[in-house]
Amino acid sequence: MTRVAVCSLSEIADGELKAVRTSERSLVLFRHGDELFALRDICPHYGAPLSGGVASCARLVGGVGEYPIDESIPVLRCPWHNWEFDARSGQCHQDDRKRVAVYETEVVDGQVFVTI
Amino acid sequence: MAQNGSVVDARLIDCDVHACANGTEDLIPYLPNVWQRYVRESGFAGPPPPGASYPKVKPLAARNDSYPPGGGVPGSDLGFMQEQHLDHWGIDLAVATPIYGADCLANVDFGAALCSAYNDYMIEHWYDREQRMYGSILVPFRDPELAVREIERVGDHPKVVQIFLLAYGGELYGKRQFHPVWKSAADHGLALAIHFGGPYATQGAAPATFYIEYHTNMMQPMMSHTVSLIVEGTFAAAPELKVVLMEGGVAWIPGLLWRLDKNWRGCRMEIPWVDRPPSEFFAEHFRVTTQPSEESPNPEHLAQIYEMIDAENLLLFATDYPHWDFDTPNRSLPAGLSEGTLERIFATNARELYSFA
Repeated sequence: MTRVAVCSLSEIADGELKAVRTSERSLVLFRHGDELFALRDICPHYGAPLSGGVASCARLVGGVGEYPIDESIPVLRCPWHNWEFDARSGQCHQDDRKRVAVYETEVVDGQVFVTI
Repeated sequence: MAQNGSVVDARLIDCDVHACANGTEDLIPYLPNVWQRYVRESGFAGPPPPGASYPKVKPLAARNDSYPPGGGVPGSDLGFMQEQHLDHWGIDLAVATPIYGADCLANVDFGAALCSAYNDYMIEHWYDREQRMYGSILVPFRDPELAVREIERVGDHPKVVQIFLLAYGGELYGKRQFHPVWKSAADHGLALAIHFGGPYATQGAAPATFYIEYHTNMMQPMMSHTVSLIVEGTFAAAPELKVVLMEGGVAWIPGLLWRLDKNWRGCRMEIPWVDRPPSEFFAEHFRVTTQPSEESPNPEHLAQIYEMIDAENLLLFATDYPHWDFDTPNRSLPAGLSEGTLERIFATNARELYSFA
């Protein structure tokens, strides 16, 4: 495994996505409060770059007319067909068989490192 | 065949038989005085017949040989129906589906009175008289409170198995205002039957010109109601409810469910109460009658569709007697179905749905 510096933390605002590229692959970073997530920047559905999507949170099951959300769960929504992925695990919410690779992140002196 | 009305031994159950009253005149004795006067004084002759804008290829859309010798409209004479249909085909049990658009009338109070009168007529003249005949009731669904009242009034009759709506009733039946009605039906052990026809025929885009369009497009309101019932959360509100789609065909089902599941993935934030793929709700809550069966140039193609829709568990055999496009038990299903599948379609699925077992 390789630890790679990808950008400065100051380049990503809270609640935003940022596309970065290592020599090996394209990644999307998702800053969610004090947490920073790195996922592969390809949707397993149609191959869209997830970095062009929406940084959001989990929609929960609700009764008729109720729309509960959980803002503590970071969810990345694809720019094309709205498939959603839990940024912590890469698990797709719409299809149990689909998952995006996730990578460990670390911030040292304001620099973001990803372990590939 | 059992041919004795035994629910346990039934091997052939016809889930769409248009037993009926002759017309509004038959209902007058069952109406309260105020509505008897209203009928007489207003000259009310009956709700507009389904598809009134489309003259059928036969009068009343009925088989030419289905007119009772003693008079009356096809489907109105018990003795003749016994001879021509129930006995002739060896039908063990039948579910009556009376078409009378009282539930679609604009005046909901008058409509509710007519629904009650029709239900009382059917119970007295059909459900209580013919052991093999189970039945549907009409409910004034436009006013949910009145509809629930009617379900509570007659829904526990031992021969009543479902409430009966016309597909072109001018509403999408998944709408939330109807949930208490469907919940009440389910609480009384009644299914919700949606049968083709009704006064508000649109064929999806706009009213068509010809009867052939009206008839060919029978699946269109079924598709709309299916999507509506699932996405509006009907089955969260009424978890025990079963829906029976009648006369919409079956070949459309795979494509619609594929589209609906796909769109659910992308749009589910709109409908968080739909907590799993819509096709799973369909499999659990819907049943579909077989008539009018599609006829594919290559019979294997229809058999493939039967496999896609899990016909063995989804379909209920139906003839649609006495209408001109009726199906017979011996000719209407695709060849090559296993004995087990045929047994379920001809009887077991209906027995389970209507708790005949």
